[in-house]
Amino acid sequence: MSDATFQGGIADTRVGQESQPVRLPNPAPRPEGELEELKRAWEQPKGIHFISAVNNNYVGVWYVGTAFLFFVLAGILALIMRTQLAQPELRLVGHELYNQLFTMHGTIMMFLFAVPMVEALSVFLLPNMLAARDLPFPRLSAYAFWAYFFGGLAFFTSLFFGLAPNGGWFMYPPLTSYIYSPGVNADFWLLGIGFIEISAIAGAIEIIVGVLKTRAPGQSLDKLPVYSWAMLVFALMVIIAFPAIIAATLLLELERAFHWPFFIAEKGGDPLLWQHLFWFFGHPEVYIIFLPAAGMVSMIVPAMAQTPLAGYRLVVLAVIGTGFLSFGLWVHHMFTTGLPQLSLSFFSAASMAVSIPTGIQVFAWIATIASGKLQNKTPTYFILGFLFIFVLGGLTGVMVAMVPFDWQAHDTYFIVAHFHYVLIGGMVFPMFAAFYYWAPTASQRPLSETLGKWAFWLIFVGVNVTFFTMHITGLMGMPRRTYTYLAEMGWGTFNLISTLGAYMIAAGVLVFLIDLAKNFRPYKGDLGNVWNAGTLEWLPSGNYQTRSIPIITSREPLWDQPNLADDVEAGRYYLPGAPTRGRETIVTSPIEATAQYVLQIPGPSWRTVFAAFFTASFFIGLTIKLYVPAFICGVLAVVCVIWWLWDTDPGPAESGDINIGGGLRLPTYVTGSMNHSWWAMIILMIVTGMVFSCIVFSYLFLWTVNPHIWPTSAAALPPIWWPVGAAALLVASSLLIWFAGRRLSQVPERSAWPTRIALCLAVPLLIGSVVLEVFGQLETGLHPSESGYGAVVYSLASYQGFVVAVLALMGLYTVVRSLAGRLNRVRRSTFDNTQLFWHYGVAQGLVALLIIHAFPRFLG
Amino acid sequence: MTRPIVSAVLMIFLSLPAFAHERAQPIDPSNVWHHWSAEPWILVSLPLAFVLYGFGVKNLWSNAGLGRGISTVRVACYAGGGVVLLVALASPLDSLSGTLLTAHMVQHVLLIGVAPPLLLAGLPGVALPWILPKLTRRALGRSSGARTMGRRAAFLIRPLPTCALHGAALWLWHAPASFEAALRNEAIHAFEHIAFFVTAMLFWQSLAVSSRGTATVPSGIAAGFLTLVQSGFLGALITFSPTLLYPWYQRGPELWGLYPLADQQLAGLIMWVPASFIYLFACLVLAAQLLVILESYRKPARQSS
Repeated sequence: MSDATFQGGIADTRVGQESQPVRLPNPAPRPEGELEELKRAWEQPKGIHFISAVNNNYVGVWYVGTAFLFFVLAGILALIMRTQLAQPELRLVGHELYNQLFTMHGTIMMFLFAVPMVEALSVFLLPNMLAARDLPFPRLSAYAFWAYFFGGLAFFTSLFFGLAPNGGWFMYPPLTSYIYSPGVNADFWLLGIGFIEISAIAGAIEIIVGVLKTRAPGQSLDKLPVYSWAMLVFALMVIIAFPAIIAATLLLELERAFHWPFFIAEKGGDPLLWQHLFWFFGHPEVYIIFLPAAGMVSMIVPAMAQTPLAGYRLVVLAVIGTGFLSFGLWVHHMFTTGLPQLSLSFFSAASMAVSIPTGIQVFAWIATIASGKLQNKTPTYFILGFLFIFVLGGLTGVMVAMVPFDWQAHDTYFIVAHFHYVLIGGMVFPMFAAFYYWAPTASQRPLSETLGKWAFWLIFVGVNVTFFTMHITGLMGMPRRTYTYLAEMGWGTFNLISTLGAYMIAAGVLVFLIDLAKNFRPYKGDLGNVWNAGTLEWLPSGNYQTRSIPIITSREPLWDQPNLADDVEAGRYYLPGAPTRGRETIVTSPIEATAQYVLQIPGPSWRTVFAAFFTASFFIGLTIKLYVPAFICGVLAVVCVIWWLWDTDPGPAESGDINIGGGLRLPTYVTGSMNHSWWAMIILMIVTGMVFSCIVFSYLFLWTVNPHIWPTSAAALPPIWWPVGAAALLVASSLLIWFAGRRLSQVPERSAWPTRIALCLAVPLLIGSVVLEVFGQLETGLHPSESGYGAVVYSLASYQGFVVAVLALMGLYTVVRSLAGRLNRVRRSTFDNTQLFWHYGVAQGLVALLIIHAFPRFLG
Repeated sequence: MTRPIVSAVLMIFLSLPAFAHERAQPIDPSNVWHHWSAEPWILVSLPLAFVLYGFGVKNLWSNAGLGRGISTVRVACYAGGGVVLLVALASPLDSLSGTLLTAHMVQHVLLIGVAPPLLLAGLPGVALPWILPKLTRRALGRSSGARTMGRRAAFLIRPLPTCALHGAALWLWHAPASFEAALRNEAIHAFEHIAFFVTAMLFWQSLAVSSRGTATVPSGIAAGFLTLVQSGFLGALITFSPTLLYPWYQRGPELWGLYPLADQQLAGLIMWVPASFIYLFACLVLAAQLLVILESYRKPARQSS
């Protein structure tokens, strides 16, 4: 389209132009061929190449499907356990298999179902809700999905070889360390789950940048749907909490593989360290699962009641408050670990505080229901079921927050009943409500109301029959995680009832699957706004989402902005075509959501699929100790990732700045803090920094436990010039990068060689700093396997080494891009990101040196 | 833009009382109320700070009207902050902090988490220029040098740098070597309290500044959250340490019927849990700023053509 055509007489709709009439940015009818061009740009690959799709509509549906598959698989494991427990002393499964079953059930439900499911739903829903054409990094979400898909399935198959982890879903050492768990079972958990966490973090980066940077113009934070708020808080919690579990699995795997004693008390480690790291992740994890579900409820309730959500601001603040609060409360999972008595009362009281934000949300939903007229539809049923079951789970939660009660109930079926009420109520019911509510945006046919209500009643009654009974079994003293029990205990009847309930839940899920098979037809268009909802995901859409990107002036635009759907569909709003002839979306500012630039989005690619496959193979290979194939897969994974990145950072489009309508011309490429990849890099730095902080915490924690194994004099430490030398190398490499950046701003007018040479020189300096540190420590005769001190010192150095290795790759990749003519003063995002991470890596290295070398000297 | 300078001067001035700090023999519960610290520095500087502030507010109000410029609630906050400072530095709590680590931690939490936000809520930077004669005040307002300095200072008062500075002060001073050194030497101890109080004032001031515009709020929230997490980690380390980190408190707690380790655990918890709620509350107040209704676009209507 030519820019001049639409400029005359069209008013700018931004604030500050009040003197002119506010009109829609683009006139209709649109020129011939514009819609065809848009469709062509967003066309999906055909045949087998279908798999290479990266667009959120496709990946989102696969992602949800895979997560649901794991829900069913873990449910089947639960059924086997329930069958085994139906009568005393049954011999269906032995204790070893039973241990694997409950470990896998918990692990899969938490890591392969709950977290991926909420991420998957948001991959599908968020761009729709924000009226973006896609997520900002579609290939990253495709990679996250495929990595999860391959890795998850391989992890599950370990069960068929009797190699599945068997130490409980939280894997407490010393049971899971090399002494008591010599097999590879625990390694499956550590490497499998550690790897899937990485995929979850990739998803979280996508969500944060998506919510903050790709909204509809005008959708400022105060107009953001509650679900988007919940996903933003969710993703921020993921990037803060998941690094703790990554650090913990790293340390435990180091202990298992190389006998570095982090958790072995007699060698100066401490098993409680694991519990702190685990629950620093594990407690937020509960809210990581619950907040997105609560966000969905906050979307479904207003649509079903046909009235705006009561107390929007309070609800959003409650969501944010829950997120913050959850990072202070991990100790309440450790009431029975012999912690100081005093701390228990503090955390018991603080645990009660969580009920305030949750209560605010529950009352807001009730108020919304009360002020509107609730439609008698399946999503409503699941929402009401959620309220009932979740509130009951919350009440038993208050009971177990009481320390004396917790001491009695801990590790009995009462706890099992409690958290199933919380998780099934808090996550599974909203999920089914979401399926029935949002299916019309994905499928040509709606899901069946009749089957939906059958599914609801079966699951609802089944859950209560199963888990209410378990409260009683628990109070009668039945411990969890035992594969059978004696008839004399008198638990048989209650267990039989629980088992029958479990089969009822299974029947309900089966009815849902039949409904899905009969009616769910994705990729063939949607049904339109069937519930008369107010938010943007109900705009008419194709694979490119909306025809044009609307200007938003309200929280429920479809209710408050008349003709919005028609105008969007007619292309009267921003960016009605594909002016760069490729995929694109509008990037907006994070708070006010004013349009900033047009982002060129990459399309389908096999590279991400291969990269994910080889990454998964690398981790599985490591687990089953096939080191050579694992190494080859690792190299191939890196190659594939680089191959995938090669096309990104495209530089300004050939078409120049784009007129998106209303006289608004936007650039197609920007650098610096406006750029979406800059944001992703900052988030990645937070993740890396959190892992590092957790290792530093481990260092200090082990010191408080065993101060006597720390060096008492400077003589026991490497001479001071080792760390000083390492620090000097670090600083020098940072200066070189800074110089490279200065010179890059003169390319292509002046030679690019100074930039390239500086980058090439900076790499060995960085590597040299790690080498100096490690040799300095070896020089003193310190070995990582001899004590907790040695282990933690070398783990800090190793982690720094890992960051340095990544930086070396990034540096050399930047040089290669420069040689290929893909790096200059304008097109420099690759360099900018490398530079950011470089300075971060140097800062981290300096902090590590300071802690390792200054802290013991300071003590002595 | 003279406010930051004035605030900085005030901060130093207000923190002078911390110089005067005496470490007595362990105090037992029977005579705790006899140990008021009657330090000359406190007796002079704290009332002086109040008088100057009160004078400024009086001048401001007589010019602009009662409750204008600085609301009465804000003045009450300032007074409250002053009382908290008095409790922290002049009451028996101060003397007791040599006996119980718990008391010492309460004192620190008051110094870093309670007094600074209350004092800053009273807008001392607005009140203090009003003690100056009219002409001087106007000249200062016009002076480009003062403005430049103000801009420089404003640049320094940004949430993430001040949060890092405050965090560094907390961690370095809680290392056993420096903490014990402070307990043994009055001058070092005064310096410790100044470091806590001044960095905390800077930190809270930066949060207050960040709340003035939606664009800066996120960095304020991030700084608040970072402080919540890092002071939580520090509190956790102190709480869960099975060894006595500060041997100074070997003897004192027993006078109060506490094991030394229990005293240490309680101290860690005070730093961890109540302090977290202060930061949490600050973060939520800032987050509420993000939900203020913004009209970045006007509602467009269909063209009549």
